[in-house]
Amino acid sequence: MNQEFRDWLKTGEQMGSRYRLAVPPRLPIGSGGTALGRRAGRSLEFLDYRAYQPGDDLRHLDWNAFARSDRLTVKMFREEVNPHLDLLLDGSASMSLPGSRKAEATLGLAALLSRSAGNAGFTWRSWQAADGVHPIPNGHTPPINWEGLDFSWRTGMEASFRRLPPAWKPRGIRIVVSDLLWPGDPSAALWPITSGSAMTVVIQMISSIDRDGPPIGALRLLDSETGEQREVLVEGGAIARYREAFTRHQQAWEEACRRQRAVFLPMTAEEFLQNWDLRGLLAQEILRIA
Amino acid sequence: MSLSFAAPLAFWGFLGLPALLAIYFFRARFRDQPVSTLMFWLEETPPMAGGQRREKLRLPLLFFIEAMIIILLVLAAASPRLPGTQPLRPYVVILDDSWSMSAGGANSPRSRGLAALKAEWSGWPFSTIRFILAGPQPVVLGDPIRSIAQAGDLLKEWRGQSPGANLAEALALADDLAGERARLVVVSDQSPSQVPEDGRLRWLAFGKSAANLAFTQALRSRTEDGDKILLEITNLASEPQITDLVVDSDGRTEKTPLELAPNASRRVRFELSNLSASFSAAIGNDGLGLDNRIELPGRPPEPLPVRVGIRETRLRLAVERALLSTGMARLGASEPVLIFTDDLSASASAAVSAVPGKYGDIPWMVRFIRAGEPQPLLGPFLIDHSHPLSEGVALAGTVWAVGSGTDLPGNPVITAGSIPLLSARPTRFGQDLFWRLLSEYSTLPTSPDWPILFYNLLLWRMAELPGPERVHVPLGGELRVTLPSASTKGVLHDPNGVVSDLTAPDRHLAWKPEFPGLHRLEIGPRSFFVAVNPLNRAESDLRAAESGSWGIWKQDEGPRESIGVAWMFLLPALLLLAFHAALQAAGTPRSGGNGEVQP
Repeated sequence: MNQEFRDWLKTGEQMGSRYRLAVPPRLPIGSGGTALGRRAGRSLEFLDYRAYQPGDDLRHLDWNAFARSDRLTVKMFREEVNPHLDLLLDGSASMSLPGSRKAEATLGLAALLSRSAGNAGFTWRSWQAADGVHPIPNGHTPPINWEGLDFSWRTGMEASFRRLPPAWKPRGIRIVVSDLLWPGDPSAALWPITSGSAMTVVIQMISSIDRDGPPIGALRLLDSETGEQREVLVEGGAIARYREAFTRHQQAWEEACRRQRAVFLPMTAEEFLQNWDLRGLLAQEILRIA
Repeated sequence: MSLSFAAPLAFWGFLGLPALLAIYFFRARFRDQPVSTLMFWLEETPPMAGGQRREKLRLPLLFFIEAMIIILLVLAAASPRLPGTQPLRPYVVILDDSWSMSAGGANSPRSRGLAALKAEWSGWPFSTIRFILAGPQPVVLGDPIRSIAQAGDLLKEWRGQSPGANLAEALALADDLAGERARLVVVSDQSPSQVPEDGRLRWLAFGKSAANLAFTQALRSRTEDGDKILLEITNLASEPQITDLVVDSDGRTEKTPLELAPNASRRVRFELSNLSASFSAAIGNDGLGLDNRIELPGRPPEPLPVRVGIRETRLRLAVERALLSTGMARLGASEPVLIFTDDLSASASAAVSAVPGKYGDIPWMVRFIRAGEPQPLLGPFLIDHSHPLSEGVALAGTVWAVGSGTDLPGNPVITAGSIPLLSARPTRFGQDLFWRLLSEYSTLPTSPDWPILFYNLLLWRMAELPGPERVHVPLGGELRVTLPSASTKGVLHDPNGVVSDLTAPDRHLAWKPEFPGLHRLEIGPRSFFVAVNPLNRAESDLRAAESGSWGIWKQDEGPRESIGVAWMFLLPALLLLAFHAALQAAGTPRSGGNGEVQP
């Protein structure tokens, strides 16, 4: 793996020291979990009160509250969970589009998320979608140790899943970082990702050129994945049509994520790298300040 | 009709066409742009121009519009010209301005000539028409005209009142001005001396032979006994004529019947004791009325105001006697025009007024120099006979005594050897005269030359007074007019009511009246009436007048003038430019404020 990738991973890991991954509310409850879930469970950590309902364990009645209020209330305690992060990186060639910083942003964000997961007591595993969905060598260790990263695959992730689906941990958190720029039904592509996950976050990492379109002029557009070429006189009308189509595609993915209860988060690589803007992740409570 | 180009070098501009093609070729080259996916560009239509693929070069409409604009502009710049429909030449019309052209009133040769011109000149294939007025001297009337409408103003100058017409000189002038290609036409009342055969000249005459009675002489001269008037009436006909001579003078009218034999002249004399009385005479109306009336205004006698400020008694008496003997001087005047003195001091000179008097003139000084030891001179006397003072002066046997002394200022008029005796020095307003004379030792004051000298002096002074030298002049003659100074203008009111200025750099001008009748001159504070009488026997003789046409214009093919038609290419070029701009505006995307292209 080239040194540039390693540098980007290192930067991302450093940025990730400030954050920790948040535990999703639907993580599986298991005994002896290493983290406290958001739901009520059987850990010793008090969570909240609620009114007694027939069938509740009488041992959890709060007698002091009854003495004060003559109302039967039950104490609730936080559950103990076993959190795990599966981080999937799109390995297609479009993720290293020449003239853009998508690759840098993807690796930096991936390293940040891994470090955040570690800060939150998560286990994690990083994967890359190429000719199949392969685990990244040393992908369960700090990002600086990752190996074999490459952005050269020539089809979308959907084909990767068909070729070799990943062996993900059930009920874990799955975060996908991809530009999602391949034709096809987003729902079908998303299904293998969301199926069996406690929470899925789809981060669409695009470049400013992907978002705004190429510059005006007589251009020979080169598809970075397929190698196809198309000569176009790019002018105002063509740009408008491009943006409209792009927006429609993006909205289709957003809708698909909504239906499959995944979080959809678009990010522009150049803007992200300008000041490591993570407001979207923080707002969705995927990340928290450590 | 073949198109020619006066500036073919402009065709180098067609090099712009391959340049335009090159611009489109290079502009249409595509630059590579990697994109993440082509899935959003599948609906875009490939461009018509340029590209990497080998296909026929397809150029947009704008290219063809721009190419056509280049072609049209180059053709316009090459100065395209279409030949004219027929050969165009300059035309020159020579107009006989002699007063015989006015004979016959409304049906005069001038009127008929003008009508004939108007009838035919619209059919002339002219590039320009120039008019020359043939009087005693030919005069070009204005600039050549390019349309008939411009002729009216110029032809107002053709009055037919000149005392003659020098047509030969006018033709020579026309040749010089218009060149070999010109067509010439003479409008006169006389036939040509030689029938024109060169194919360039036509001669049109509209005269009519007629009998005419005319004044051919009118003089008024002053004598000791009053003014004497001489009139000459001539019968310019081949049969006897009877007319009445009507004379108006001094408030009285006299009618005298006159019978004249064929070609005979009759002289009639009058005497007028009233020198200031006007005098006019008329004979019966005939074909030419211009020469049937004359005016001879009077001029009141005006002795020159003179002051004799000589202290030496003998000399003073001699000077006064001589002045009075001329009858032209008035002594002791308060505003003299001539001052005699023997006081040579500066104060005496300064005492003389430098303000023009009622004559509008500054007085001349005659200074007698009496200083020095007496020196009688017997001659030989050298006299400048061209000088006004020396007319009739002989000095034979005269003793002229002078004081020993220096030269005289000014130009010597009379010297004795190298000794100047009488000199004149021109000043800004006139003359200063210096006269060396010791009268008590001289015989000059008692010689016949003494009063002659004073008579000449007074005549000279009178001639230099502001005003005309005479108050009547024949039409075609000249009249000397003196102005008060080189910077003072005179004003002339002619019989037609036109007012014009008279100026002369050296105070004197030779005024040549152009119209008969009574003119008024305002010079300084004074006004003068000057009568201009048409007196020319040859011009009044209408018997030689005739009508006819001589000479023809050769109908050959001359070079044609071409017409510029650059507008035929410029207008379509401008329209295409506008269309081009509209097409570009329709296809150009608007740019947002942040530089992003917005739909």
